[in-house]
Amino acid sequence: MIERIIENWLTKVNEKSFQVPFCQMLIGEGYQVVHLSRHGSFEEGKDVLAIAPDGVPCAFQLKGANGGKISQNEWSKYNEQITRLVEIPIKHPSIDESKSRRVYFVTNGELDEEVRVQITNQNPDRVRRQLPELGTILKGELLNRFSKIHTDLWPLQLQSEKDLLELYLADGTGYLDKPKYAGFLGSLIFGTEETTKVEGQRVLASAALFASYGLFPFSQAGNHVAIIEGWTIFIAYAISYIEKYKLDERYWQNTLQIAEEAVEMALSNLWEEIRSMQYFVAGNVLVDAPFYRGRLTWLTGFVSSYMLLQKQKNPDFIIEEKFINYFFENQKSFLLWGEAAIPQFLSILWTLRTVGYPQLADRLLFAIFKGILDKTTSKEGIPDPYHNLGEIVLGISGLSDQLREENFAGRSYSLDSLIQLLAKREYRGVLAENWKQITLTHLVEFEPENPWQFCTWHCEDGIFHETMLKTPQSWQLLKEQSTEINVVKIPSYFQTNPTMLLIFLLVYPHRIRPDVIKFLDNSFSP
Amino acid sequence: MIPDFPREKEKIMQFWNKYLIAKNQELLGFFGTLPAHMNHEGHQWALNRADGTGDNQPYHQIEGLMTVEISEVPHLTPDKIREKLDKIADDMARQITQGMIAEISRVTKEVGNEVNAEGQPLSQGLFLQMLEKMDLDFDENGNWNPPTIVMHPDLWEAKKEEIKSWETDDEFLSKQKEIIEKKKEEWRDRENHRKLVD
Repeated sequence: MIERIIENWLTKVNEKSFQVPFCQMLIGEGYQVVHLSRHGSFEEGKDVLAIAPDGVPCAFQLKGANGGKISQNEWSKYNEQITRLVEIPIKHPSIDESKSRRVYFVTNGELDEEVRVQITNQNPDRVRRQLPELGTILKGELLNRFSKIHTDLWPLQLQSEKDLLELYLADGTGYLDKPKYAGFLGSLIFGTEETTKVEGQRVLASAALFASYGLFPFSQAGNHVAIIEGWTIFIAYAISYIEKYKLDERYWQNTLQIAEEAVEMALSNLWEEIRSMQYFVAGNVLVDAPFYRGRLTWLTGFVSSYMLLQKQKNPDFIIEEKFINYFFENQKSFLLWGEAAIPQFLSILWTLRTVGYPQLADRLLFAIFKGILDKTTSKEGIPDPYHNLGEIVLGISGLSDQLREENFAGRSYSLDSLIQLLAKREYRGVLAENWKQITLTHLVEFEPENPWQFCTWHCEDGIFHETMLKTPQSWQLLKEQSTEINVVKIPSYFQTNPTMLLIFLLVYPHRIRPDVIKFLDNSFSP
Repeated sequence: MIPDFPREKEKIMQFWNKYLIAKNQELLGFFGTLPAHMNHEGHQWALNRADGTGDNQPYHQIEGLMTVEISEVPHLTPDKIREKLDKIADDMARQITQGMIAEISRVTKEVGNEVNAEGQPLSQGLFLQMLEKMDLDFDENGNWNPPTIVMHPDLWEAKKEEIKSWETDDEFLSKQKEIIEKKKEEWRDRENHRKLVD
């Protein structure tokens, strides 16, 4: 059945959604992917640049085949790009320009006979001119190569097949079923016994391809948030695997780089989409209102992380005016819909600091601190970060019993982090004024036993900490505590990549812990 | 294979699950009214108290067993299912209650708050001694929130008239009032300590 899913996916996927899995396939085959073009074809007609296992630089141009075959008519449209692909040497810092190269036209369909003949006829002339021959990689070969990556790494359990099928057939306009997706990837990655390090590389490449298949309906629908979440979950599970089996960087770096690219592309696409929107409405407008403000907060959290990601990659990056205007136009609609919204607000807050609005950022910090405190000490409490926006809206509307069966009053997963951010910023007055109310709350956090378990969606091994603050509490001690960070339980990958840790937290809000928040705060507002 | 009705059965099971939870809650009595939270992950729970002391406990499994003979199925009416579930609810409520009492006993012993009657019957003196050992709570207007006494039903039956008579015993009430006043001062002191200091 899985072979049929892959074939179906390969036939239907468009060229943009195809880039990332194609790169992951190359990595699985031992290539080193050095570049993938984000906005359509690369300047010289090259979408993907890679170094083959034999050391030869390769350039690939990817084209989707609508209707299954590329006709002569269609081929003529690509003429210029093909000429550039073949004739212009590969220019990339990681590639030696003087070396001979291989160039490929890749499509998930077939070529018309005339096109095939044309390519074959032109190749001797290319060789005569000391240019590379144009190779082709077509649907059949792709299917074969994808399947080879999966050899011995097929999902072993029937449940995984069922999960894949359900993910594949999901309504791509909705939100990703994160527990199911994470469970599926987890069973793939940890379902095989670790053998060799090289095998580990193939396990990750194979899982990355399955991650693509599972995200297919969302890619087709252009659901950028689901794509961000899906690839982030893949990255998280890959980190788990790497940490658990102490896999050397050379076996995973490229896989994670490409997955990060996928996240970044989806973030960029999300920002492109919403930057020009006036109303952030989706689907059935009659019943969209209960989701509107929470969704806007959620989207802004992601867009903010995109700004921080750009800044992390290039410290000279200037966050555009459009983002700042977007924030001012929409800030009144943001909603603290549950504790899962805290990472979203913190993402906004850190971006505001970065763009030079520290006071506004601090005002937002007071607001979310007070919001969490008031809600936690109210009779109802605030839903913990294990509950998503959809569940909470249904719960509030009285259409689901799930939330009613739980008691949220009197404890908070995020309050401790917020208190420590305020203490770090010397806001003693705000804390002193609210200290009595704070002491009525139990501060809770979950500490997975091992760093690798931090990245799994659900973890059975670990300690659930419940803390009551001291009465009285020493301000000096609190201040000292606010600057101490224990990073032992944060996977090392995230320690060198704080923005990815922030994106992880947006996707896994239940992994909020004071040490994680303090680490991020130090990274974004030192 | 004969056809089944999995979707419909799932709905009926949801109904019975809800019934079981409600029945269990009812049988827990006072313990069912205590606030309970769901801890979604982990194998252990660590409590850090305001006074700096802590406690670390693994989770305990609570389970109930029900057997259904295939031969029973044709005549398994809702009333009979209810009867079976009531037994499970009772069994689980007993496990939970016993577990909680054992836990409270352990903690009170550890912090030295235990009053050992050494075989003596419950008396005014023992009751006042218990009050002395406890932190009492008051509402924002300073009114006492009396604690709940949990005792074996047989003991309650044997002692209830005597215990009720304490409410009209001036000497007892005066001693109780004295303790409550002292405890109120301690409570005020505790509440005043809910602050940030240098």
